[in-house]
Amino acid sequence: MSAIEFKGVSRRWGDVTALHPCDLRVEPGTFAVLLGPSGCGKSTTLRLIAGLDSPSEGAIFINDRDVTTAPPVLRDVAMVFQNYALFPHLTVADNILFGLQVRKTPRAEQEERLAKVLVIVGLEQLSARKPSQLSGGQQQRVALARAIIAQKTVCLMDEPLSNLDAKLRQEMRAELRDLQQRLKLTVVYVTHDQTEAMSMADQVILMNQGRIEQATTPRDMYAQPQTTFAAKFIGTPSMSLLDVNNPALAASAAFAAKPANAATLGVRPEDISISRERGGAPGALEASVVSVEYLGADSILRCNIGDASLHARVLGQARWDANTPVFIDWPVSANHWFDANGRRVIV
Amino acid sequence: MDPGLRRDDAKPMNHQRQAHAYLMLLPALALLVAFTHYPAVATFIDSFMSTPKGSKPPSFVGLENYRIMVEDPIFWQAFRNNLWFALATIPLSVGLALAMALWVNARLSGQAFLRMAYFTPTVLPMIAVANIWLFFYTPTYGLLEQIGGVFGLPSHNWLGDKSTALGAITMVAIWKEAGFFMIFYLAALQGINPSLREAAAIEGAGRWFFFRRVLWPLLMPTTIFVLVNAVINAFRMVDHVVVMTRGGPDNATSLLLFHLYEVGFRYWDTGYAAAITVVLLGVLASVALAQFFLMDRKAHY
Repeated sequence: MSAIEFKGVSRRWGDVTALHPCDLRVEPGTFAVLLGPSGCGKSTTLRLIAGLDSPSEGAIFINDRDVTTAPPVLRDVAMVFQNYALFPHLTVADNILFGLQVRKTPRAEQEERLAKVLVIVGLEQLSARKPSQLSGGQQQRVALARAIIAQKTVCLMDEPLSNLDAKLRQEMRAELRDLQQRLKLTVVYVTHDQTEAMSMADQVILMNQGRIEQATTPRDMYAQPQTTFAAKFIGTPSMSLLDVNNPALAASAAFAAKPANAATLGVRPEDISISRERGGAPGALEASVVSVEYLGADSILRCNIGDASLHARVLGQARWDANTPVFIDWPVSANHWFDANGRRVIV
Repeated sequence: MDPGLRRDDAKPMNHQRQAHAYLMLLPALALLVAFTHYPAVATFIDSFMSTPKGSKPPSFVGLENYRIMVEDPIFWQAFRNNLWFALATIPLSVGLALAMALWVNARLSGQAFLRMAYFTPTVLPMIAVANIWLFFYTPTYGLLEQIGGVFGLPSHNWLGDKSTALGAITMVAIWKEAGFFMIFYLAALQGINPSLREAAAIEGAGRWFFFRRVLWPLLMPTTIFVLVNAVINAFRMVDHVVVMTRGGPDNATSLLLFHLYEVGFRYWDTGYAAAITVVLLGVLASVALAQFFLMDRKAHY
């Protein structure tokens, strides 16, 4: 059984295709993140799950029930909107209770559930306030409470943390993850922030130009990117992609293992070792440091090998200066090979 | 810098700046005083004076003009007519405006055209509008007659019959006002965050629940504004009456402002006209104040 399943679902508006036909599975009780640059179709996907939009073709299942044409209310989903979508004229309590009032839940039960949810999100003292009297973080919690009180099995979140400042965002990440685990919710979470995706998700669904590039665990996504897009998108700084036909790179020991159909070689910055002497690495490449970005714990060096350029991550304490000639090496196991179409070559 | 020193330094400068400020205000202030404040005060004073006749200057007569008003049956008829006119035009035009705005707002295509179509009555000159409707209501060859004739209905003189004249004028006012008010409602509706509707849809709120619980309260500031304008317009109506009926037949369509116009500029009884003006202004001011203070508390801004 899966909580959410897409079978050949697509969405088109005239000539514009927001989502190409795709299959998708989200297991119950897991935290799935739809990740991608803006305009990649992640919000469209979320709205299709919510029922705020309907697919051009294909079928959508929630808890194994076909909901392709069902209105939002019959889909057993709750949603947190990017701008929170709080009703500005209603108090915090009334905002949270909106859905229960629609469904005419008995008064006593409403009060009981409200009290519980207020404790969960920590808004006990603020239930009589209007949204305009709350901070961004508190408004976010009201939106969250409104989603939780519905006791739906699936909770959809559309970039819920994007309007918060960096510190609060980091706190809320941990809190959201904790909440999801405690309430055993199935969460589908939209974001363009890869850090958010990697730190919270059980499953990252990476999207690009209306297609699902890769759907897997964060660890697998990082270790085995299936496309050059996935390789570039995940990781800061991103994986360096080198053209295998560049003569400047031919001397590298890493190239000895090149598969026949490989067109691009990817190397993560942290896999690169860098030294001032050739030392005991006969396959090391001669390079020069072009720029140094000091980040504290580590530094990011941009190095040129001939006309190829790559990033290397080194300890922050080590001193490197621009224009220093260096030797660059990396183990064969750190190679990521991609073919001419940008797809991973399995070695 | 020492603040005390600075203030002393700035003092002559301050006078100059104040003079500047008053000079800038002068044009607007002069117009306001000349055409609003002075006439209002003068009218109030005139309402306690007799009407000057020939060489006889006005003299203080106390409440005499008001006594005449209380005993004037035409004043009371105009007052009653105006109340009915207001009672019909205000709720109907505001309700119609809201309904049209909700309808146009829900429509994605052709919105600009619909908006313009509904707004047209407002931009047309009042006199032209009244003439068009005059043709609609004309007996024997008017539009209503021609349509009625097709269905074999008997001929009727809408503006000439005491029982339908006021209703006919009311219709024109509603038609004209509704388009104007719709623009305000439409602007307010488009200012409402569309994800509120989606949030409500996720919770399963029906159209009526969403309207009652979310849209109507959020539209309250607009409703107050529109209501105040509707009340003022209802007691300010005069041009349609002048063009279409001249208050007739038998004062059946005489409204307060029309009666005031007749008294003031046809019979030149300026003292009595001033008294009617004071009453009219009093009614309008108290209604507007009551609306703002009573409904403001219920409104969310």
